[in-house]
Amino acid sequence: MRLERLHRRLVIVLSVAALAAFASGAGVEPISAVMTFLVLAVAFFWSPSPSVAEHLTRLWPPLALLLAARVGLGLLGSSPDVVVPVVHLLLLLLVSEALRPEEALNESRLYALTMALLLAATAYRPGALFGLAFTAYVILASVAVPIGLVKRKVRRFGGRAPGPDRQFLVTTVSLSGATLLFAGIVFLTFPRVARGWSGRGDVMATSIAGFSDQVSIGELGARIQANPRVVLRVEFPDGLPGNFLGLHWRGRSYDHFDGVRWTRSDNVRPSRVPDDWYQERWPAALVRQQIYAAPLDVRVLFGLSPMVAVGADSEIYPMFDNVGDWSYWGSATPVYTAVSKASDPAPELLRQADRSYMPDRQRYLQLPRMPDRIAALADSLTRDLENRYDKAAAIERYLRTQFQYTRELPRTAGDATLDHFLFDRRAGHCEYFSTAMAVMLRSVGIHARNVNGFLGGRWNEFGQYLAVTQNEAHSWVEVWFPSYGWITFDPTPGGSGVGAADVAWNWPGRFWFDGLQHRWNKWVLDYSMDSQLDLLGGLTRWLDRPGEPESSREGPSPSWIWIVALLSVTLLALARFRGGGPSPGGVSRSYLSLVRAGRRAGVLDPGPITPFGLARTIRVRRPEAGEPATRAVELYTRARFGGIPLDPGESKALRAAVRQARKRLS
Amino acid sequence: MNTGNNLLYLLLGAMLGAMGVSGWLSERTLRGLRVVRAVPRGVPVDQDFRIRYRVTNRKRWLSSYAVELEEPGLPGVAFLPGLPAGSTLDAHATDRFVRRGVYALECLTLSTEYPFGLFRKERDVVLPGELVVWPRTDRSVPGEILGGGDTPASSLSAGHPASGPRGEFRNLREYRSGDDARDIHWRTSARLREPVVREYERDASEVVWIALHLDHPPGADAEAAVEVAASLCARAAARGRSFALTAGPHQVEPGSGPVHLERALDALARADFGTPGLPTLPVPRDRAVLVTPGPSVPGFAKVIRTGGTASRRDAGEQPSGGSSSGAAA
Amino acid sequence: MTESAAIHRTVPASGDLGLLVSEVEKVFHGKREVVKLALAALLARGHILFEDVPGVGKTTLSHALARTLGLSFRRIQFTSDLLPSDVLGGNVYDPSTGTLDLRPGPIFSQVILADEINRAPPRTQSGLLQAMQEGTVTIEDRTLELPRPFLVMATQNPLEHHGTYPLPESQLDRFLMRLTIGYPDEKAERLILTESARSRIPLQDLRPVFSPEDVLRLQAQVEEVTADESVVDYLMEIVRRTREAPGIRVGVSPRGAIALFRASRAYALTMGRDYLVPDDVRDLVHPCLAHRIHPVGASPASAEAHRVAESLLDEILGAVEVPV
Repeated sequence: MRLERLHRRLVIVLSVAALAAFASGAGVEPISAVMTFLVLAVAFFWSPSPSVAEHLTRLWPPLALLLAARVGLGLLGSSPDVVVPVVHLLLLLLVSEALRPEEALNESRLYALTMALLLAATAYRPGALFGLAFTAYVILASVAVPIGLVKRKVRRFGGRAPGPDRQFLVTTVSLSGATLLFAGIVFLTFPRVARGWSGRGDVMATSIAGFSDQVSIGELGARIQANPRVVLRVEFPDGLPGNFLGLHWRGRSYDHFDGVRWTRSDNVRPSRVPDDWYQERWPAALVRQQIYAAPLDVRVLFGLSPMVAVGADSEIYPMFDNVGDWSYWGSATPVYTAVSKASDPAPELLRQADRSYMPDRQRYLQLPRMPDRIAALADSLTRDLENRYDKAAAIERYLRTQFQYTRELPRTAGDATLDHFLFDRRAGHCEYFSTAMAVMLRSVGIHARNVNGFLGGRWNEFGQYLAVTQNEAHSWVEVWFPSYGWITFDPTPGGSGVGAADVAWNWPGRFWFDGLQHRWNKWVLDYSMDSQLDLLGGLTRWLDRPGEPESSREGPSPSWIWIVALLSVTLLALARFRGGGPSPGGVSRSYLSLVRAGRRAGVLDPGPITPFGLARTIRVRRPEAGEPATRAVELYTRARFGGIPLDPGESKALRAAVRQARKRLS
Repeated sequence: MNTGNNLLYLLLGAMLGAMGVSGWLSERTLRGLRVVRAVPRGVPVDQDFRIRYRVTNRKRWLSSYAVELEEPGLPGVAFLPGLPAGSTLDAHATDRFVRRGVYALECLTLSTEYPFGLFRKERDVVLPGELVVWPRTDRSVPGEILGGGDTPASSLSAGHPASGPRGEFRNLREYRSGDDARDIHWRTSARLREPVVREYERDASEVVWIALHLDHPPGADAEAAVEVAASLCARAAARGRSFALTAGPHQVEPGSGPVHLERALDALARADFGTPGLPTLPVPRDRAVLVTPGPSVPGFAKVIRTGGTASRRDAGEQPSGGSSSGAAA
Repeated sequence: MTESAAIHRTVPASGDLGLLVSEVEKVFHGKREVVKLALAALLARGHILFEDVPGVGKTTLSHALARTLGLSFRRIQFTSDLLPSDVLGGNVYDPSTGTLDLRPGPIFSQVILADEINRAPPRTQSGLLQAMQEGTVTIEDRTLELPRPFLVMATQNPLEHHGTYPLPESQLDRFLMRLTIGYPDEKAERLILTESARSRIPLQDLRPVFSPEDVLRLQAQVEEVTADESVVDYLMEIVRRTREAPGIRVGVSPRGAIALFRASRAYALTMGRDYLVPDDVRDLVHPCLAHRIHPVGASPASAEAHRVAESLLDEILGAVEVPV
């Protein structure tokens, strides 16, 4: 009975692990996942008596019918998402199976249901929690299934079930270790060639503060809160740039300002920089960024400005529109490599920017109705200056030095205007600054637009990547320079919000977990043929140059290589152990090799043979090998059965005799 | 290029891993098991009997679980829930035979579904042995053949210690199982601290010689003849009579007691019909009883025929009078 | 042989044992193995039952063994009218003194050849066997010690049936070994013939290699032969299988297991070793166990039973793993 209870509990914990794996992908929904969890928790401690169970079984069919009807409705079109009702049905079945009496537990059905839950979870894009739950699931299954088997067999044949003693647990848990190891190897080495179907993608982050599709000066600030959700994880294959805290992860540009919010106009005439300009006229070096982005509700590819090229590493199709913003289509989570110019052209060059191509003045010089004193202020700041660059730099400097950055929001709607910011409050957050600069530039006839994205990030030493969170959401200004294109200006005073973000990052465990999450994404969810080739390449490189220390940011992390090496050593050791039999002593090994040689030579009959019997047989059937064989047997029996250890000379003599006999036998 | 759902590969890997590991473990579970089979000395036909397997796990650290042991051709399964490393446990299988004879046991099949019940791993262990199935001994036979009253035959149980006729004192010898306790020579037993019995010369003419005629095709009559012969032996043994048996090449010299009866039953279990010729006897024919499924043979003291009018009995029926005709030569 | 001296731990008189075997071989040709086994039985304080057709040299062997060991030797021919007192001795009326004097029988010798023991009536047989077992003889009320060392070599002719009293199963157990000498090979037989032709029996030429004290000392030394745990396991596994084999009605008794162990150790000593190897056990399984198991079907103590027993033992030996 003890075994049955243990088994039941293990199966229930197994179901919880499967549920957790599912929740890690599909998210926690109160009425299904939480209720299922609660029922499982109850079932862990209480198993219904048969009479109660009978009442309970009457409850399931109508509920199941209800859910089935919901699936049907979903299929008919009221809701396109049939996965959720199907999962609800699955959970209902799980609950009904878990609430059976101890004696009538149908374990195979539970195994199947939990497996189905795991499968359902893979349709989502579960986080690293899935990895933990999956590991727990495998370990629990390796313990629970054998116990269930023994229990079932004992029920059928009778007999006393062995208690799950320590040895049993050690065996089964190491079993799960082997299973996981095997799973890892299969996962890593299974060839990825075909283009599979895409998952459902992550849950869309509509309600999350930070970056959004539009910038509105009065409202957006209300949503700026400490939100440490990581949106970009950036690796720098060529090395981390020194100024990584000042990097502008450019997202989208906005050309139309109605006095409160910035939007994008439709049918903008091409206003992006001609392709060859960056290559020819921007003298700076290129910087490569490997970016793992979290899915947002806006399909934007972030990167350092200006992005010259984007290569997709996941199932997405990057493209740029005619204002120069990068977006994509495809439902996968974007993973891509962006190539950007490391820095802007020098101010001297920009000062000399001649009259070349200008973008649509309808768009980039557009201004809403606004108080005249704003234009007057702009004019007063730029009146004495000759060129675009100096004018833009003057406004930028004015805002940066004369104004305060604050996260505090204006108290009334009247206080939220640009006018109020510029002349009364003289403090605000980034949208105010960027808007003010763009508007002032436009009022003096300089093409400008508002841009949003993220600023800076935090270097994760554990994961070797730059983590950019929603906290780092930012907006700034781009100014057109003929012959060069859009140049970034950031009028916001320093410390653009990092301070508050730090609070949320302060918990080191969270930071560590994000590293784990990144690795999970990189090595599991987004593992691909390229990663496989990388791994292989890294392995061969490592094998070619064993003396050189492995670069930690290039190729696969060395731990994989160690695992492979360790595995081969273990296999070798196992093979050796098995081949050597029950580890006999040295003399016995010599003797056994003689016996094996005799058997190979066909001198010995099958079946056990005694030492002197061996010597006699060899003497009779192969007289030439008889003398050394006899000598070997005499030394062996004396050491093995006489308890008289051989001295080194005799050991040598034994080995020599065996060698000689084997040579003459073959 | 992401090729889709990587987690499916993970699940696939785990499943393959579980299969591989379970295959390996079940293989290991069946390895290093030493099985010793103990079958009963002989088993009566139509009765349940148990085969005992003593299984030793000779592996150093790996226990074996859920091991089933089967004899090919026999329905019984012995099951061992768990066998810790280095330990020895017993398992039993219950079987039943419906025909007498000698059954060769050649190999034993060890199997297990441990650990996951995904596969069944089997291993054949060559373990020669044999089972002797004795014929039934509860046929009614004419009591006068043995002389004395017709006491009910109580087959193997020696619960009816009849005092056989005694001849002259011959010898003292060690007690053997089946000896009459009244023959124990207590004084010598006390001195030697082990039981010693008196042996008496027996009158050779008191030996009941039973000859089974095997020159006849096998069949129901032939089996009936074997059962009659077995019942005669059992009856003689129960009465403490000395008896001898000849059945083709198998001869059992005169003797008495339950152990002697077992020898006779062994010989009868091995009797093959179709052996030509009359039974050979070391004594004149007129001192022997012939049991034959065929026609009567002259010269014997008595003849019991089971052919022709013999009624057939099905298994499970209560012992009833088998037809037998005593025919004096 | 210096190498052999290095290999074997010095066993006192072990060289002499080889000498003894060679000496016996002078008259008993081509059966070195049998001589060694007989010697082992003597050292293990056991007795031997020979089961052979007449004329293969049982008398020669026993006589030669007794002579080379310096032991007294007596041969008793068993016949159907032999009385226990003819073997053990009895009180004889002495007319000169008018008293009953105890006259010891031929059993009071150190080596006894009890020829054709199965011809004697059971009472006489059991008298001898009891004396063998206990080492004493009780005549009337007097108990007499038998000389030591004491070795009985009984013979039993397997072919004769009429007028014989085969030894009962329980009595067989008293013999440590049951041996068959068998026919000599061609070379040895030729030697036997030519010797007879020269009508010179060199039995008298044999010189004693040992004194009775040496034999007693060697008998004590058997106890000092060491046995590795694994060899004991090997022995016990063989014994255990005789108890569980389906073709065997009665397996080897604990007494039989002890006998095998003793005999193996004595045999190791005759091989010049003071430790047991698996070969010792294996070589003594037939001599020590074949007459102690009772195969199913065969009538007890018959030649056929022995043949079946030996093949059953071979099967067991073919299945038991030899320790390495």
